[in-house]
Amino acid sequence: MALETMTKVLRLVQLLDYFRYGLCCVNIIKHPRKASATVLLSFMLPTLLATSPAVASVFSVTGRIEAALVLANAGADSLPSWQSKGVGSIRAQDNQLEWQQGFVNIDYALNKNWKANAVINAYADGEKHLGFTQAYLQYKPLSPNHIKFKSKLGMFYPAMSVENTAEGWLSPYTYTQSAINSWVGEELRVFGGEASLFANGRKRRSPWSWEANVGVFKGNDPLGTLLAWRGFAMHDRQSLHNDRIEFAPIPSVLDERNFASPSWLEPFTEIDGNWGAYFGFHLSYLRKSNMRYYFYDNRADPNAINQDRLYGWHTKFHSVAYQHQLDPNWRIMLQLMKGSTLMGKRSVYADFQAAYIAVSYAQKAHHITLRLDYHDVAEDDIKPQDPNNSHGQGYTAAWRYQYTPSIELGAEFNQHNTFVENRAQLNFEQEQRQSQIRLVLAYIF
Amino acid sequence: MPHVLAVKKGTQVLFPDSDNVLHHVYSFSRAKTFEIDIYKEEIRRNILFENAGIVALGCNIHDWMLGYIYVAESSFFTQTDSDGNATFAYAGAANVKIKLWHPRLDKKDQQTLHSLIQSDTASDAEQAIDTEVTVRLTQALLPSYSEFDDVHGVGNYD
Repeated sequence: MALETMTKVLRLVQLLDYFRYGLCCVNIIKHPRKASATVLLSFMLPTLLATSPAVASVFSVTGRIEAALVLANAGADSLPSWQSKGVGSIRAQDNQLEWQQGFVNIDYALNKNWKANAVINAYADGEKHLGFTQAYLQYKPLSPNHIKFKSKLGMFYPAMSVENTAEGWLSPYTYTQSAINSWVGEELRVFGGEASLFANGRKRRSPWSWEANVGVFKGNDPLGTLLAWRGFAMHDRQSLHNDRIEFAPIPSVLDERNFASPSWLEPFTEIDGNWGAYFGFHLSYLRKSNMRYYFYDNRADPNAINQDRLYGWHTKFHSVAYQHQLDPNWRIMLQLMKGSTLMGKRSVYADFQAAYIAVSYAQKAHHITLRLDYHDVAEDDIKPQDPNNSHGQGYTAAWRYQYTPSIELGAEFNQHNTFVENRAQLNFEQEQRQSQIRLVLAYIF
Repeated sequence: MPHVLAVKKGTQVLFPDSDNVLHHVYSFSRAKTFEIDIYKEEIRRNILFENAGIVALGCNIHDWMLGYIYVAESSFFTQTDSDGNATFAYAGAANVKIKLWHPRLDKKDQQTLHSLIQSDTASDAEQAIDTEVTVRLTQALLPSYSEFDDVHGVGNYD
């Protein structure tokens, strides 16, 4: 019976989860004209917002258009926003239908190692209405080493936030961003380069992955102006590359005996010629927990001033952000920031600190997020006639529903309670409670 | 979803990019070193695996992604199903021995030979037909780290 075919079943009892992980979906098809099987190896990536079964391309254009019906609290404490030279701390100021934002995200793979990215935003409010919020080149060479290198060059955000992870540096959780990232979005941007070393754990059989970033940049010298003269705000208005941000005409700012500075700033202006620098370190456990530490220092000369009478503000801070996935549905996020800003020979000096904690629940196409914000700016300088103290708390609850791959519906409640000392100069109550409800419709393409 | 593929030496494997995300697939393994610049390979491309061995695949855009191609020397190989079951059909040699491979197997278990016939004196073929062989590993599986794939929306900085 030597030629008899025998069949045996091999049971590998300890390999039950043999195929329960990985990235590939494997199909085997018989090629009609070849003796050997041709094998199809398909890389299937789950994407939250897979638009259509489009083929990936070296050139991709995606984006979002967002409108909101805003019900801002009316009455005595309804305040015009800083963008209208008011002392309010939220973007909305009336009950109205608002063009919240629109952006186009352009990705272009120049070759296998170089990628270009640009995000062009359009806003109805603010001083500029169309411009870049990011535009950079990324270099990521292929390497057999466990520790790899990559770099960025251009205009971009340092990756310090675990909140702003959606396209266009938006939050996928809430519409109104945390006080920390509202500020980062309006006043902070890198115009320079970043070099990174990173190691992915899975490749070396470890649950731990890390990334270390060092960046240098020009511009961003007025960073901190808003914290000292307006205080933290809560919104989703990112500054464009050439933007100008207005704020309330505080007499002690405008006064020639004090600063004779305009009540606006161009946040990305170079004033002193100094290079700024930052360092960041990310540590991840699987893709479950992610911690990001950054130290950012714009190294501005606090005695420098330009022809518009914009000052250099030497601003530096530490930021720690942490995200943890509790289970497939629940995620917690938090960020802490602590730093200081200095202008002149201690004409303005303030310590600032801010934090938020958020919990998010995802169920199919629905996301519900609750967030608590806290922020504080405390001055310690030689000009008490220019008060810089402020503090506040934010309460945000948002529901977002991905109705179709291209339509998102959402609703959000946001309350921002603030104390800003210099409001008294304009005869406003220093304590203000502002709230808003937003009903959002977004088109994603 | 599986992330291991077993093929015979000399097989061509096709790498279509079937989602709408760009990938840059590569391997630095001794059995096959290659990269597919999918950025310019919108047309599917075959890769010939002419040497036996383990080919570890990565993606230079998504660093956590990992896949394996097991390139077998002989045509006597098979791949288990998701429950760890595999069926061999072969012309009855007297004493067939097999090796197991899995990315999470300990080295010792990868080198151990397992006999498909439970008794060396099994001249009676009847006894050997349709028997079931269970292999017990001597070492626990290495950690899976499948959680790398579980979480979405971790960041656009990956």
